[in-house]
Amino acid sequence: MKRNCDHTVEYLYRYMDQELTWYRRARVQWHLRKCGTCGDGHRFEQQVKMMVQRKCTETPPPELIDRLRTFLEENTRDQKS
Amino acid sequence: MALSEEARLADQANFERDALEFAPQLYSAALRMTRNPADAEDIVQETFLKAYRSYHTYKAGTNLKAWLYRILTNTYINKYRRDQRRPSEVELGELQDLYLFRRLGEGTGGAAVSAEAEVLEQFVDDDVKAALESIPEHFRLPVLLADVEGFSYKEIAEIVDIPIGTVMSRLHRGRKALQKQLWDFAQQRGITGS
Repeated sequence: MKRNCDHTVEYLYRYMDQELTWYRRARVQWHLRKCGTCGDGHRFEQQVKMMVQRKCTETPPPELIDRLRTFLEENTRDQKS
Repeated sequence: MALSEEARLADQANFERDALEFAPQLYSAALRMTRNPADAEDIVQETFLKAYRSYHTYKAGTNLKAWLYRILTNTYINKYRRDQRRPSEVELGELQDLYLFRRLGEGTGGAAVSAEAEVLEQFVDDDVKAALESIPEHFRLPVLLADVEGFSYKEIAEIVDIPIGTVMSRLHRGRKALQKQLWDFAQQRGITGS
């Protein structure tokens, strides 16, 4: 079991990121179903990943797009005529 | 009006319509790079100006979002990167895999994963932002692009201009460094698994 745990931990991020070939993917998936500790570790890592995405996404100032549009117009006027 | 002039104006209209919709996401990423709103808006402006001027080099139908992130990343690196050295492997030290999961498990003798998930609930947005921003930049960019912006390894390799193998190793190490910072916060505040 130890060897399979090591294999799973080594490839866990690539598995979560959907970056494994089907063969390795199947091997990791099989082990995650069989091994409680690795399964828990996987669920936890997924939760961390989702938390990072949720908590690090920023709402821009509401006028951002208008300001950008004005900025672009002012800085490219010379090219327009 | 010359035909080419007409085509160029059409290009500009297309650019505004297609590219500006990514502005909020680019701003969010820029803020994690520069760590401050004024600098973030600056590099977003510069990104759009560069993108606008080189829009004719963008191949229609290819990945516009990744193209814009590539310009954003270059703009940020050229403007703000103080440390041009290649990152050293010792920069982050050697951290255990499943870092936070294992640290939290130690206190409880391997408690149920639900207890560990509850710990995550106690981190506020500013903790997680600070943890991400604490990672050395070479490792932070891949984590930001993968975990917050949702890019694939191949896209990140193109955006940051490093080989895919390097994306993988930096992402791996960067994620562990982020977890170590979260663990430090948890300990400072007495948030632990038990």
